[in-house]
Amino acid sequence: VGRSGLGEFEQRVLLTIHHLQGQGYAVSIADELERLSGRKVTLGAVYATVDRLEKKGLVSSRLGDPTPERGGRAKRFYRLTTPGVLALSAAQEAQSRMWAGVPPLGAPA
Amino acid sequence: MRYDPGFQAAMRGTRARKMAPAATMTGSAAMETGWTDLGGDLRRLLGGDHSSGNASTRNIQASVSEAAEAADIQQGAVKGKWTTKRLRAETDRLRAERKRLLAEAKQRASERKAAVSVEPPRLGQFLICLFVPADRQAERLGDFEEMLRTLWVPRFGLWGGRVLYTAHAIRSAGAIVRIAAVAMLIDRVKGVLGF
Repeated sequence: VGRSGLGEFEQRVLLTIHHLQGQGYAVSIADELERLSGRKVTLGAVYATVDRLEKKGLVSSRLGDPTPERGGRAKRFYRLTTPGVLALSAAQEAQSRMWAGVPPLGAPA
Repeated sequence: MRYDPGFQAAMRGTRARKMAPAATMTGSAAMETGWTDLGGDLRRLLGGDHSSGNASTRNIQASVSEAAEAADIQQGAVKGKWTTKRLRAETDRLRAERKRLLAEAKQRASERKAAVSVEPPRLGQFLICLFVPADRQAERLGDFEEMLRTLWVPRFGLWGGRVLYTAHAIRSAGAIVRIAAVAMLIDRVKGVLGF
């Protein structure tokens, strides 16, 4: 992973944030990521990743309204920035290029 | 007392006649509405003598009963005949309804109890506050509390939820410490190499 490149987990988190359309906060991102990938995701991993993505300028955040089930504390919603969208589409193109030359996966010979 | 729809229909007919204008009644009926009329109505509707009922009388009686019952059903007074089959079906339905309501009440009570008694563990809160920057502490505590109330306590119970809260706080803090340590190491290496 280069300085501007995206790691696998970062890509997944970015995709999930994009999927949640600006309504994603740490808990919902972890839930959605777990549902989509079928793997256990801890809150700590999500925090570390979104913090890193925010420092890279790929996501932005805003504070929402406080809710009672959170002890009256607000949620921090994340959404993709323009560089985030570009990075995600670049990652998708790279994946597509890599898969383009690969023969169809069948039964092992 | 036995339910007799024919009699009720007769009563309704009499009441309707009482309400009608006097011009529509004949002779003494216009002068003295009431019980004398009721006898005539009953005889007419029920086919005169009950004990000697012939086929046409029974037909009339049946049609009057059906009409009265239909009217009662329409008015919501009597909801169809209570046959044994229907009674059993109704009993089963009511039992199922009671069971569902009891389960709902129990669920609500446990949720209320959990909502009231769930307090995040102090150690977990302390760890979060220790390792998370001050401007992010509130939402992190909120996220953990939401997970505690909505996921961990309902699934693993009060103590299980509290243990999981602390474990996740430690793991979260561990990740933060690890990242900070790696960042510090990279900075040291950069400093040594002169970047």
